[in-house]
Amino acid sequence: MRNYILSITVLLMAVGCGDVDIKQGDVLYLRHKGADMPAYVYGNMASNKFMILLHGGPGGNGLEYRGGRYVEDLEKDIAVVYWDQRGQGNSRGNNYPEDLTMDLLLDDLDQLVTLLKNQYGKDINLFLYGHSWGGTYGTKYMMSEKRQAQFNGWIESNGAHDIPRLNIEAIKMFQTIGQAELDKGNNVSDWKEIVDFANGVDTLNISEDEGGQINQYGQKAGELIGELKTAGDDEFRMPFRNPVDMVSGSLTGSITANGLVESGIEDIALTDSLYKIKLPTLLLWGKYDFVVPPQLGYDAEKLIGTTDKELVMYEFSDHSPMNGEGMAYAADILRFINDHLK
Amino acid sequence: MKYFTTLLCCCLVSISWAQTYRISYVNHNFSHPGISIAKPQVLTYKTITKNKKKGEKVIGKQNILLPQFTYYNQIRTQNNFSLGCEIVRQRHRMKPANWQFETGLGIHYVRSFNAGKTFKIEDGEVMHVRFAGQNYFAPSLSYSVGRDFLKKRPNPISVYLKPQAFFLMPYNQSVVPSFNLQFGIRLHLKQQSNA
Repeated sequence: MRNYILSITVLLMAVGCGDVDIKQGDVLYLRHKGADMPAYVYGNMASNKFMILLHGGPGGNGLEYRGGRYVEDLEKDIAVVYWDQRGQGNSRGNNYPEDLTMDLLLDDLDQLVTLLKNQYGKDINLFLYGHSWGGTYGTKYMMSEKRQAQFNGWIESNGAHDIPRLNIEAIKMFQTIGQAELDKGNNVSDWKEIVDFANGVDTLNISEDEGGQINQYGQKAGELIGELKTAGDDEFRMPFRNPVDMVSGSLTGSITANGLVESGIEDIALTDSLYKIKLPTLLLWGKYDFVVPPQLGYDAEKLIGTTDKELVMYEFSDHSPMNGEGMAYAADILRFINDHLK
Repeated sequence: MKYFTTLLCCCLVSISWAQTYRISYVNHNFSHPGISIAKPQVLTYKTITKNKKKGEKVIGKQNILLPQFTYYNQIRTQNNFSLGCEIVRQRHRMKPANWQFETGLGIHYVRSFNAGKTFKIEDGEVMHVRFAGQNYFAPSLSYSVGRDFLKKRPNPISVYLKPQAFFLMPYNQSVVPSFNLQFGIRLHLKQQSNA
């Protein structure tokens, strides 16, 4: 019997150990209108520089961004708040008092800002970063001057701030770059499929299904460009035991994404409202981003209502420049943040 | 680790008073570790003996009520406790082999606790919420394969592998399947039992 108990003890000790840097940092849960949303705060909290990361999707999670080389550079200098939005990632909850809408999500972010300032001090330097869908979310948030006043700056990376325009621009890219690749004889069958699809889309009347297909072909087209840089061997990976639950996270993420689509996010078009953003803004884009084409970045650079704005175009990247050109990407973010401290 | 230690103590105390227990290492959704403890109650039992060309074949069939307690930890996110009960149909190839096959149908209550401080904000005031987490009901389906070892000893020991599918509800206003893989031992502590 003694041996049995000893064996069990050893087994339990073994499964309880082995966590790497995951244990550093803070985990704060925000409870708001029926949801408990975790914010994982990693990095240099003593710096007083915090960047809230709005993840992509909808349906992604904050910590999926904490897996590249660029994060090491960022976290040495600033604290990054990897937040799981309502109904996505490790967020949980029920009995939402109202439908899942953009307004509800904006309220969530208001609450997160209040919580961070309560926990780390009202004088913290706070930046908002949004990638892809996070760019939609963040741009929508920045439509209010009161909300802008909470932040030192806004960083939009490959942000989908105008989804109808995004679809039209993606079709143009499929046609122009796709045809050029066909002429060069690169990946002929794949490009032919994409170009044929693009030629068959009526850009004045793009359906929801076609929008989904454009997104899928956008991902595929990025993979077909041979000159893109990909994540190197020095990329650090999350340890096997990490907070992300891919099974339930991806399932609930899909459900939430469908709910948001039903609530009309596909119709969000903020190009004409970009002048409302008066906050210092950094725009980061991959030249070969077929998912959210660079034209949206050029639009934003032109139309955002401040002179303190900058667009950085990464020549060898697609939708995720943080993967292929991570060191430059992190350096650009840090430069912007350090130039805009209180 | 403190949760494991606490639970380990509880398990050891329980074991010392029990006759038969099942203790297993649990892996939830392929990444989150935990433990499970169950106390089988035999409802019906019968033995069938068949004479085959290769020799005598003895098969035991049991219906078992299997109350169980499970804990698993999603690191830096949640601590989950579940209390439930399964109805298990066991087929035991007693002779010549010692294999046990079980199919189970169960219902569980799952309580998760956020592994981090939870705050809510009312009228601009930030308040700490104690013991914050979620409640779920979870029907389950399971299949288990086990084998007896050291059967000639007065206190035999068996091992088993048990995949178990849960359907957590309500989870983000929906039903979400999840998966536990249990690798455990059956301990027959005070008298022989085949449960």
